[in-house]
Amino acid sequence: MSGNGANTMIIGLEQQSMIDAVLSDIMGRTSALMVALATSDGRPVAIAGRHDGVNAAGICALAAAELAASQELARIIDDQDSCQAILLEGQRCNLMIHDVGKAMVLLVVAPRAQTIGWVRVVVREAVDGLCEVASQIGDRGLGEARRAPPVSRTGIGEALDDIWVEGDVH
Amino acid sequence: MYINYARRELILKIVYYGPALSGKTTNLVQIHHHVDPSHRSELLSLKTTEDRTLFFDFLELKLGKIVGLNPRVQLYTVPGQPHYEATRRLVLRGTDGVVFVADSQFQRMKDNLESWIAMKNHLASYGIQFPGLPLVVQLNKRDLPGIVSPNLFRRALGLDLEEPVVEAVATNGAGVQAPLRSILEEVVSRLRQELAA
Repeated sequence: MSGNGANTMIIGLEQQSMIDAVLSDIMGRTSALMVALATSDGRPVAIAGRHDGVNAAGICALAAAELAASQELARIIDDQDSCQAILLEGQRCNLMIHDVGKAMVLLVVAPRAQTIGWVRVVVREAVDGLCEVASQIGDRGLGEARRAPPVSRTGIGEALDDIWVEGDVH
Repeated sequence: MYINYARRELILKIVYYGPALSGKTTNLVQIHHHVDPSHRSELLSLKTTEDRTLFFDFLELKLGKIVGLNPRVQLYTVPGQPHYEATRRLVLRGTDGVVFVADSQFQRMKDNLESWIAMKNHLASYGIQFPGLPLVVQLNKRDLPGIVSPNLFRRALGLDLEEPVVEAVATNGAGVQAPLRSILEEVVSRLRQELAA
Protein backbone atom coordinates (compact mmCIF):
# COMPACT_ATOMS: atom_id res chain seq x y z
CA MET A 1 0.00 0.00 0.00
CA SER A 2 1.19 3.48 -0.62
CA GLY A 3 1.70 5.74 2.31
CA ASN A 4 -0.55 8.48 0.97
CA GLY A 5 -4.00 7.28 1.86
CA ALA A 6 -5.93 4.44 3.39
CA ASN A 7 -7.08 2.87 0.11
CA THR A 8 -4.50 3.91 -2.43
CA MET A 9 -2.22 1.30 -3.95
CA ILE A 10 0.41 2.34 -6.47
CA ILE A 11 2.43 -0.29 -8.29
CA GLY A 12 5.61 0.66 -10.14
CA LEU A 13 7.50 -1.04 -12.97
CA GLU A 14 9.83 -2.95 -10.65
CA GLN A 15 7.04 -4.40 -8.51
CA GLN A 16 4.99 -5.38 -11.56
CA SER A 17 7.97 -7.23 -12.99
CA MET A 18 8.41 -9.17 -9.71
CA ILE A 19 4.70 -9.99 -9.60
CA ASP A 20 4.73 -11.21 -13.22
CA ALA A 21 7.68 -13.49 -12.38
CA VAL A 22 5.83 -15.07 -9.44
CA LEU A 23 2.69 -15.65 -11.54
CA SER A 24 4.76 -17.15 -14.31
CA ASP A 25 6.40 -19.51 -11.80
CA ILE A 26 2.98 -20.70 -10.59
CA MET A 27 1.91 -21.32 -14.19
CA GLY A 28 5.01 -23.37 -14.89
CA ARG A 29 4.92 -25.50 -11.73
CA THR A 30 1.19 -26.28 -11.63
CA SER A 31 0.22 -26.28 -15.33
CA ALA A 32 -2.39 -23.72 -14.28
CA LEU A 33 -4.84 -22.55 -16.92
CA MET A 34 -4.94 -19.07 -15.45
CA VAL A 35 -3.45 -17.19 -12.53
CA ALA A 36 -4.73 -13.79 -11.44
CA LEU A 37 -3.68 -11.36 -8.75
CA ALA A 38 -6.15 -8.70 -7.61
CA THR A 39 -6.33 -6.15 -4.85
CA SER A 40 -8.45 -7.24 -1.89
CA ASP A 41 -11.23 -4.98 -3.19
CA GLY A 42 -11.22 -6.71 -6.57
CA ARG A 43 -9.07 -4.64 -8.93
CA PRO A 44 -6.90 -6.69 -11.33
CA VAL A 45 -3.16 -6.38 -10.73
CA ALA A 46 -1.81 -9.07 -13.07
CA ILE A 47 -3.17 -12.00 -15.05
CA ALA A 48 -1.27 -14.88 -16.60
CA GLY A 49 -2.45 -17.74 -18.78
CA ARG A 50 -5.48 -18.06 -21.01
CA HIS A 51 -7.82 -15.13 -20.51
CA ASP A 52 -8.70 -13.91 -23.99
CA GLY A 53 -12.43 -13.33 -24.23
CA VAL A 54 -12.75 -13.72 -20.47
CA ASN A 55 -14.25 -10.98 -18.29
CA ALA A 56 -11.01 -10.68 -16.30
CA ALA A 57 -12.20 -7.70 -14.29
CA GLY A 58 -15.34 -9.60 -13.35
CA ILE A 59 -13.33 -12.67 -12.33
CA CYS A 60 -11.07 -10.59 -10.08
CA ALA A 61 -14.10 -8.85 -8.53
CA LEU A 62 -15.77 -12.19 -7.84
CA ALA A 63 -12.63 -13.83 -6.44
CA ALA A 64 -12.05 -10.96 -4.03
CA ALA A 65 -15.73 -10.94 -3.05
CA GLU A 66 -15.75 -14.71 -2.53
CA LEU A 67 -12.78 -14.54 -0.18
CA ALA A 68 -14.12 -11.49 1.63
CA ALA A 69 -17.48 -13.21 2.16
CA SER A 70 -15.78 -16.35 3.50
CA GLN A 71 -13.59 -14.31 5.81
CA GLU A 72 -16.64 -12.45 7.10
CA LEU A 73 -18.42 -15.77 7.63
CA ALA A 74 -15.43 -17.09 9.58
CA ARG A 75 -15.30 -13.91 11.61
CA ILE A 76 -18.98 -14.12 12.55
CA ILE A 77 -18.82 -17.81 13.43
CA ASP A 78 -15.36 -18.00 14.94
CA ASP A 79 -14.87 -14.35 15.87
CA GLN A 80 -11.56 -14.20 14.06
CA ASP A 81 -10.31 -13.61 10.55
CA SER A 82 -9.32 -17.25 10.09
CA CYS A 83 -10.13 -17.92 6.44
CA GLN A 84 -7.02 -17.50 4.30
CA ALA A 85 -7.94 -19.68 1.35
CA ILE A 86 -10.88 -21.21 -0.51
CA LEU A 87 -10.81 -24.26 -2.76
CA LEU A 88 -13.55 -24.72 -5.34
CA GLU A 89 -13.61 -28.11 -7.04
CA GLY A 90 -15.02 -28.19 -10.57
CA GLN A 91 -15.61 -30.82 -13.23
CA ARG A 92 -12.57 -29.86 -15.33
CA CYS A 93 -10.56 -27.59 -13.08
CA ASN A 94 -10.08 -26.52 -9.49
CA LEU A 95 -9.99 -22.93 -8.29
CA MET A 96 -7.89 -21.83 -5.36
CA ILE A 97 -8.32 -18.34 -3.93
CA HIS A 98 -5.72 -17.28 -1.37
CA ASP A 99 -5.19 -14.03 0.46
CA VAL A 100 -1.86 -12.24 0.04
CA GLY A 101 -1.51 -10.38 3.30
CA LYS A 102 -4.43 -8.01 3.72
CA ALA A 103 -3.88 -6.17 0.47
CA MET A 104 -4.25 -8.69 -2.35
CA VAL A 105 -5.94 -11.88 -3.48
CA LEU A 106 -4.44 -14.66 -5.62
CA LEU A 107 -6.60 -16.85 -7.87
CA VAL A 108 -5.20 -20.03 -9.43
CA VAL A 109 -7.21 -22.09 -11.92
CA ALA A 110 -5.53 -25.51 -12.19
CA PRO A 111 -6.59 -28.52 -14.25
CA ARG A 112 -8.33 -31.20 -12.24
CA ALA A 113 -5.56 -33.64 -13.21
CA GLN A 114 -3.11 -31.64 -11.11
CA THR A 115 -3.11 -32.76 -7.47
CA ILE A 116 -4.66 -30.23 -5.11
CA GLY A 117 -1.92 -30.79 -2.55
CA TRP A 118 0.78 -29.74 -4.99
CA VAL A 119 -1.18 -26.66 -6.05
CA ARG A 120 -1.57 -25.72 -2.41
CA VAL A 121 2.19 -26.04 -1.79
CA VAL A 122 3.06 -23.91 -4.82
CA VAL A 123 0.44 -21.30 -3.96
CA ARG A 124 1.69 -20.96 -0.38
CA GLU A 125 5.25 -20.42 -1.59
CA ALA A 126 4.01 -17.88 -4.13
CA VAL A 127 2.02 -16.04 -1.46
CA ASP A 128 5.20 -15.62 0.62
CA GLY A 129 6.93 -14.12 -2.42
CA LEU A 130 4.00 -11.85 -3.20
CA CYS A 131 3.78 -10.62 0.40
CA GLU A 132 7.42 -9.59 0.07
CA VAL A 133 6.60 -7.65 -3.10
CA ALA A 134 3.52 -6.11 -1.46
CA SER A 135 5.66 -4.80 1.37
CA GLN A 136 7.73 -2.83 -1.17
CA ILE A 137 4.82 -1.35 -3.13
CA GLY A 138 4.17 1.79 -1.13
CA ASP A 139 7.13 4.11 -1.15
CA ARG A 140 8.62 3.20 -4.54
CA GLY A 141 5.28 3.38 -6.34
CA LEU A 142 4.40 6.69 -4.75
CA GLY A 143 7.57 8.25 -6.11
CA GLU A 144 6.57 7.30 -9.65
CA ALA A 145 3.07 8.66 -9.13
CA ARG A 146 4.37 12.03 -7.97
CA ARG A 147 6.67 12.35 -10.99
CA ALA A 148 3.88 11.51 -13.47
CA PRO A 149 1.61 14.23 -14.91
CA PRO A 150 -1.67 14.30 -12.91
CA VAL A 151 -5.05 13.26 -14.29
CA SER A 152 -7.28 16.33 -14.34
CA ARG A 153 -10.80 16.65 -12.94
CA THR A 154 -12.22 17.79 -16.27
CA GLY A 155 -10.18 15.20 -18.19
CA ILE A 156 -11.93 12.27 -16.55
CA GLY A 157 -15.38 13.82 -17.09
CA GLU A 158 -14.63 14.42 -20.77
CA ALA A 159 -13.34 10.85 -21.11
CA LEU A 160 -16.71 9.62 -19.86
CA ASP A 161 -18.54 11.92 -22.30
CA ASP A 162 -16.48 10.42 -25.13
CA ILE A 163 -17.74 6.89 -24.55
CA TRP A 164 -21.31 7.87 -23.68
CA VAL A 165 -23.82 7.29 -26.47
CA GLU A 166 -27.21 9.01 -26.45
CA GLY A 167 -29.84 6.38 -27.14
CA ASP A 168 -29.43 2.67 -26.64
CA VAL A 169 -26.30 1.09 -28.13
CA HIS A 170 -28.05 -2.28 -28.43
CA MET B 1 -7.53 3.92 -5.63
CA TYR B 2 -5.16 1.79 -7.65
CA ILE B 3 -2.50 2.98 -10.09
CA ASN B 4 -0.25 0.60 -12.01
CA TYR B 5 2.52 2.39 -13.88
CA ALA B 6 3.75 -0.76 -15.61
CA ARG B 7 0.34 -1.39 -17.17
CA ARG B 8 -0.48 2.34 -17.37
CA GLU B 9 -3.75 1.78 -15.52
CA LEU B 10 -5.77 3.85 -13.10
CA ILE B 11 -8.58 1.76 -11.61
CA LEU B 12 -11.35 3.45 -9.65
CA LYS B 13 -14.05 1.71 -7.63
CA ILE B 14 -17.44 3.39 -7.32
CA VAL B 15 -20.29 1.89 -5.28
CA TYR B 16 -23.96 2.62 -5.90
CA TYR B 17 -25.54 2.45 -2.44
CA GLY B 18 -29.10 3.01 -1.27
CA PRO B 19 -32.28 1.42 0.08
CA ALA B 20 -34.09 -1.49 -1.53
CA LEU B 21 -35.77 -0.76 -4.87
CA SER B 22 -34.30 2.75 -5.15
CA GLY B 23 -32.86 2.00 -8.62
CA LYS B 24 -29.21 1.05 -8.09
CA THR B 25 -29.22 -1.83 -10.55
CA THR B 26 -31.27 0.25 -12.99
CA ASN B 27 -28.46 2.82 -13.03
CA LEU B 28 -25.92 0.17 -14.03
CA VAL B 29 -28.28 -1.26 -16.66
CA GLN B 30 -28.68 2.22 -18.17
CA ILE B 31 -24.93 2.85 -18.12
CA HIS B 32 -24.43 -0.52 -19.81
CA HIS B 33 -26.94 0.52 -22.50
CA HIS B 34 -25.32 3.90 -23.11
CA VAL B 35 -21.69 2.85 -23.42
CA ASP B 36 -20.28 1.26 -26.53
CA PRO B 37 -19.46 -2.44 -25.91
CA SER B 38 -15.81 -1.85 -26.81
CA HIS B 39 -15.54 0.45 -23.78
CA ARG B 40 -17.22 -1.71 -21.15
CA SER B 41 -17.42 -5.22 -19.73
CA GLU B 42 -20.58 -7.25 -19.66
CA LEU B 43 -22.86 -6.49 -16.74
CA LEU B 44 -22.29 -9.10 -14.07
CA SER B 45 -25.25 -9.67 -11.73
CA LEU B 46 -25.52 -12.02 -8.78
CA LYS B 47 -29.27 -12.31 -8.30
CA THR B 48 -31.79 -14.28 -6.26
CA THR B 49 -34.44 -16.38 -7.99
CA GLU B 50 -36.80 -13.39 -7.51
CA ASP B 51 -34.43 -11.29 -9.64
CA ARG B 52 -33.26 -9.20 -6.69
CA THR B 53 -29.58 -8.42 -6.14
CA LEU B 54 -27.99 -11.10 -3.94
CA PHE B 55 -24.38 -9.94 -3.69
CA PHE B 56 -23.62 -7.16 -6.17
CA ASP B 57 -23.84 -6.04 -9.77
CA PHE B 58 -20.56 -5.23 -11.49
CA LEU B 59 -19.72 -3.25 -14.61
CA GLU B 60 -16.32 -2.00 -15.75
CA LEU B 61 -15.91 1.03 -18.03
CA LYS B 62 -12.72 1.56 -20.03
CA LEU B 63 -12.18 5.27 -20.62
CA GLY B 64 -9.85 6.73 -23.22
CA LYS B 65 -6.25 7.49 -22.32
CA ILE B 66 -5.60 10.50 -20.05
CA VAL B 67 -2.01 11.74 -19.60
CA GLY B 68 -0.73 8.32 -20.58
CA LEU B 69 -2.97 6.38 -18.20
CA ASN B 70 -5.90 4.16 -19.16
CA PRO B 71 -8.63 4.82 -16.57
CA ARG B 72 -10.90 1.89 -15.78
CA VAL B 73 -13.95 2.53 -13.67
CA GLN B 74 -15.41 -0.36 -11.72
CA LEU B 75 -19.05 0.14 -10.78
CA TYR B 76 -20.69 -1.94 -8.06
CA THR B 77 -24.16 -1.95 -6.56
CA VAL B 78 -25.03 -3.26 -3.13
CA PRO B 79 -28.06 -5.49 -2.46
CA GLY B 80 -30.81 -3.29 -1.03
CA GLN B 81 -32.89 -5.73 0.96
CA PRO B 82 -32.56 -5.19 4.74
CA HIS B 83 -31.15 -8.64 5.58
CA TYR B 84 -28.07 -8.13 3.36
CA GLU B 85 -26.41 -5.64 5.72
CA ALA B 86 -23.21 -7.69 6.04
CA THR B 87 -22.93 -7.97 2.25
CA ARG B 88 -23.36 -4.21 1.79
CA ARG B 89 -20.47 -3.62 4.16
CA LEU B 90 -18.22 -5.97 2.17
CA VAL B 91 -19.00 -4.31 -1.16
CA LEU B 92 -18.09 -0.90 0.29
CA ARG B 93 -14.58 -2.10 1.12
CA GLY B 94 -11.96 -0.07 -0.72
CA THR B 95 -14.45 2.16 -2.50
CA ASP B 96 -13.13 5.43 -3.92
CA GLY B 97 -16.54 7.09 -4.04
CA VAL B 98 -20.23 6.49 -3.47
CA VAL B 99 -23.31 7.36 -5.49
CA PHE B 100 -26.14 7.26 -2.97
CA VAL B 101 -29.32 6.36 -4.87
CA ALA B 102 -32.33 7.61 -2.93
CA ASP B 103 -36.01 7.02 -3.61
CA SER B 104 -37.66 10.44 -3.90
CA GLN B 105 -41.04 9.37 -2.62
CA PHE B 106 -41.97 10.86 0.74
CA GLN B 107 -43.08 7.44 2.04
CA ARG B 108 -39.53 6.09 1.45
CA MET B 109 -37.72 8.79 3.46
CA LYS B 110 -37.38 6.53 6.49
CA ASP B 111 -35.75 3.85 4.32
CA ASN B 112 -33.43 6.44 2.78
CA LEU B 113 -32.36 7.68 6.18
CA GLU B 114 -31.78 4.21 7.59
CA SER B 115 -29.71 3.27 4.57
CA TRP B 116 -27.73 6.53 4.81
CA ILE B 117 -26.92 5.99 8.49
CA ALA B 118 -25.98 2.34 7.95
CA MET B 119 -23.67 3.36 5.07
CA LYS B 120 -21.90 5.91 7.23
CA ASN B 121 -21.45 3.29 9.96
CA HIS B 122 -20.04 0.74 7.50
CA LEU B 123 -17.60 3.29 6.10
CA ALA B 124 -16.58 4.27 9.63
CA SER B 125 -15.79 0.61 10.30
CA TYR B 126 -13.18 0.91 7.52
CA GLY B 127 -11.84 4.13 9.01
CA ILE B 128 -13.58 6.36 6.44
CA GLN B 129 -15.36 9.41 7.86
CA PHE B 130 -17.79 11.92 6.35
CA PRO B 131 -17.01 14.36 4.93
CA GLY B 132 -13.95 13.04 3.21
CA LEU B 133 -15.08 10.30 0.86
CA PRO B 134 -16.29 11.57 -2.54
CA LEU B 135 -20.07 11.34 -2.57
CA VAL B 136 -22.89 12.19 -4.96
CA VAL B 137 -26.58 11.80 -4.14
CA GLN B 138 -29.01 10.81 -6.86
CA LEU B 139 -32.65 11.61 -6.11
CA ASN B 140 -34.29 8.95 -8.23
CA LYS B 141 -37.90 8.38 -9.31
CA ARG B 142 -38.68 12.07 -9.85
CA ASP B 143 -41.55 11.05 -12.16
CA LEU B 144 -43.59 9.58 -9.31
CA PRO B 145 -46.20 11.45 -7.22
CA GLY B 146 -45.56 12.44 -3.60
CA ILE B 147 -41.86 13.23 -3.88
CA VAL B 148 -39.72 15.30 -1.52
CA SER B 149 -37.96 18.45 -2.67
CA PRO B 150 -34.15 18.38 -3.02
CA ASN B 151 -33.88 21.00 -0.24
CA LEU B 152 -35.92 18.93 2.19
CA PHE B 153 -33.86 15.90 1.31
CA ARG B 154 -30.62 17.80 1.93
CA ARG B 155 -31.85 18.88 5.34
CA ALA B 156 -33.01 15.37 6.26
CA LEU B 157 -29.60 13.88 5.48
CA GLY B 158 -27.64 16.83 6.79
CA LEU B 159 -25.95 17.45 3.45
CA ASP B 160 -23.91 20.58 2.78
CA LEU B 161 -24.89 22.76 -0.18
CA GLU B 162 -21.61 21.73 -1.86
CA GLU B 163 -22.59 18.05 -1.89
CA PRO B 164 -23.87 17.25 -5.40
CA VAL B 165 -27.53 16.18 -5.57
CA VAL B 166 -28.81 15.06 -8.98
CA GLU B 167 -32.48 14.50 -9.83
CA ALA B 168 -33.14 11.42 -11.95
CA VAL B 169 -35.59 9.06 -13.57
CA ALA B 170 -33.19 6.17 -14.00
CA THR B 171 -35.72 3.95 -15.76
CA ASN B 172 -35.55 6.20 -18.82
CA GLY B 173 -31.88 7.13 -18.40
CA ALA B 174 -32.46 10.72 -17.20
CA GLY B 175 -29.95 11.82 -14.57
CA VAL B 176 -27.83 8.68 -14.87
CA GLN B 177 -24.71 10.06 -16.54
CA ALA B 178 -24.49 13.23 -14.42
CA PRO B 179 -23.90 11.58 -11.03
CA LEU B 180 -21.36 9.20 -12.57
CA ARG B 181 -19.48 12.09 -14.16
CA SER B 182 -19.68 14.06 -10.94
CA ILE B 183 -18.35 11.25 -8.74
CA LEU B 184 -15.45 10.58 -11.13
CA GLU B 185 -14.49 14.24 -10.98
CA GLU B 186 -14.67 14.21 -7.19
CA VAL B 187 -12.53 11.08 -6.99
CA VAL B 188 -9.87 12.49 -9.30
CA SER B 189 -9.77 15.72 -7.30
CA ARG B 190 -9.12 13.68 -4.20
CA LEU B 191 -6.39 11.68 -5.94
CA ARG B 192 -4.62 14.91 -6.91
CA GLN B 193 -4.82 16.12 -3.31
CA GLU B 194 -3.40 12.84 -2.02
CA LEU B 195 -0.49 12.86 -4.43
CA ALA B 196 0.28 16.50 -3.67
CA ALA B 197 0.30 15.88 0.09
